[in-house]
Amino acid sequence: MGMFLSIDTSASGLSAFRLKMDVVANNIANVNTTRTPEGGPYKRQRVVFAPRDTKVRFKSPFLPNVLKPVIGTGVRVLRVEKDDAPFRLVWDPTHPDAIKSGPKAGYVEMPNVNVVTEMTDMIAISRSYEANAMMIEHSKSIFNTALQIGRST
Amino acid sequence: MEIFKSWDVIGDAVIQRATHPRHFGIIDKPVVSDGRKNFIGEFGDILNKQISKVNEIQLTSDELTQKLAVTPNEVNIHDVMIAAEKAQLALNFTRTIRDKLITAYQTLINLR
Repeated sequence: MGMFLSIDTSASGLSAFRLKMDVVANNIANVNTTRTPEGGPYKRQRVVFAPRDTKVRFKSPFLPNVLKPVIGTGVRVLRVEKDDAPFRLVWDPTHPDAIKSGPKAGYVEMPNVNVVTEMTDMIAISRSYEANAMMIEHSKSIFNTALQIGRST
Repeated sequence: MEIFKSWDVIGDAVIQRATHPRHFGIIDKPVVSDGRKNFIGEFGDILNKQISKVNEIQLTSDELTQKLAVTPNEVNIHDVMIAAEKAQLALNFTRTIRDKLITAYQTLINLR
């Protein structure tokens, strides 16, 4: 437990949600991208969060530190993974990336990005970011309140 | 063999101080007996250490602010703000401690 533990924890949340916001922005920007370097339309990206763990963990059950309840130190981004949901099919035979043959001929595979989902994600992220910022503000005011104890003589 | 006074012994830790280096037994630092090496040290040392830590926080904040000015894409704005706030809080803390020290000093000076 350090002087600024809660501030550091909230700061990790701020960074994580900032990154998630970047990913959502990328998804919305690529809502009509039908051509990617790996082939096929753009796949929606998702962010996987995990608790941040700065301590070394041992698997031995005999080490007493394993059993101690420890306060976490925030969140970290584990990875950015791709959503494998099916693509949207749009009828547009004149599109350069339209499927030429087979039962789906004439259709274009559009990215599996739903703008409405991304917008709600965006709102949730911006509220989470606000919550973390609020947390920092209140940690600050707690710190200042503690200092007031020393100042009032 | 060292001989300690009875008031120098607390538990199994022995503290010996020389108020002046020319006095007998030139020992500047508190002596700790075996087994308890984690004696904290003089208050002044602790204070100096803390002040240098506060200085480090200020330098970190400075560095981040410069980074923000030079390469804005490489830093998060909230990191800069948090570093600045941390610096301010640490400085406030130091100021409160200094005020306390000065109050204590003045109390001692005005004993008569």
